[in-house]
Amino acid sequence: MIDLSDHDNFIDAVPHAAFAQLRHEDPVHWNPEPDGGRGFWAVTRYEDIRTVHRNPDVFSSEIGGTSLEDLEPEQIEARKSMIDTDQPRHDELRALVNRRFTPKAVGVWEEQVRKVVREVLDGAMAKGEFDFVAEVASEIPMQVFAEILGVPQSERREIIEIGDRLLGNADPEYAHDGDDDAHRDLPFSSPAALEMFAFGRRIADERREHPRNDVMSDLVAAGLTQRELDVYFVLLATAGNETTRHTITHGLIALSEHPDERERLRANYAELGRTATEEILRWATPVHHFRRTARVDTELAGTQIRAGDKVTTWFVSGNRDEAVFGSPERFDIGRTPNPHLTFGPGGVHHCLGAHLAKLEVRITFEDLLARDVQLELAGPPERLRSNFFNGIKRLPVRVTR
Amino acid sequence: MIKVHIDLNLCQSHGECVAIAPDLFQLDENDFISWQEEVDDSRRADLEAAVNTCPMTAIRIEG
Repeated sequence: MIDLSDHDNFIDAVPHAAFAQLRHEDPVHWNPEPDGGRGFWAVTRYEDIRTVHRNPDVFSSEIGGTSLEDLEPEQIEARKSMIDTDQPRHDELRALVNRRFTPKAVGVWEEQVRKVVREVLDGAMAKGEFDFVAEVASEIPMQVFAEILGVPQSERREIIEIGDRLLGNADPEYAHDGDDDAHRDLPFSSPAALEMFAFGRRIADERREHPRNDVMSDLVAAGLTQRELDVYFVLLATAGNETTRHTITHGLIALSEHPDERERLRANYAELGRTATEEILRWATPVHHFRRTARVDTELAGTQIRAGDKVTTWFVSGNRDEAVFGSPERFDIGRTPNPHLTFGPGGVHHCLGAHLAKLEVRITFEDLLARDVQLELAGPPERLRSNFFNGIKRLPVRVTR
Repeated sequence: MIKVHIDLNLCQSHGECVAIAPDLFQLDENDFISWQEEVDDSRRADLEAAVNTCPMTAIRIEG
């Protein structure tokens, strides 16, 4: 069986065949960690993933955090953001900003998103040949996020650059020098988190002086500790950027590799735009897995799990589960229903930014496909070395008529 | 007619139902959910989608 703790198994491609084998032969699989971890359960079937996430009383986010690393309790405490909490703390943190991300609140942003997308694509397309990730896929979410959080647009590249190092901590291109253990009290065990903290504090300080009608003003008014505010900013800056970036990049790859679907979508975006967006989200699955920790002895799909065991849920596998999706290996922009797990399988941690992400993806491809000129791939994508993010570092494209 | 129930002890205002059927479900400025309690049978597909999509399993339909 594949070793899911080995980032190298995710470099060339998502190991879909290995996940299919796990679903069929060992759906709650014990994955040892050869590099010293204590091993974890890998849950790969849709229904079992849903069960784990919808039973936080059994499978905790707070006991051991949501990443695979084995951390000391004080390290977990120091670096935990909303996603690493259970109720009631989770609900208190989420309530601070939830109203900014409802469908109605996000709907207000539609015109702004359209403007961002148009300007970004205008600028990129004029170049003729370029890196789609740098020029388009990273720019659109970052510019929208900068507007919503009130980050000056002149500083947005800095956030992208810090975020790349933060989340690329398993990739030699971004990995920091030195001892991982020195930074285990920081998000992603990365010293880049300190730079992101500093960035967030600058914006927070400004909002304390001059509150606005925005997310950061809400957060500084909430009476959080400095570290709570720091990790909240890191969460928003990473979750709101990198995931949508990779989704947009995977969307372009998928549409390029499925020209029939692309032309079908182009011919009728008004009718197919929303289902195509959901299918791109299923196809991309930017976050491969999240971890929970069993709070008590329990059983999942006939497998005994002991209190304290690490339990990982692989959305990337659930999104291709034959029991739920007909012909899951087919990219079908009209797929209905499409109950993908990309924003999570439900439960309190269901993605806060889901409505915003859908809006950004839908508008991006609507604008792109409505143009007289189109994009074609000019080389293979360069993948991030990570078993957590389905990331694309670079994607060369060229403009064609 | 189909009766729609939402368990307010469960609802966390994720807004998935609002995205599916904004005419049947609304979140107000304080993030409280309101909804149409009796819905025509012609909307069954939307209601079932809302029930299945709700991250908190807070929606129940009857009839």
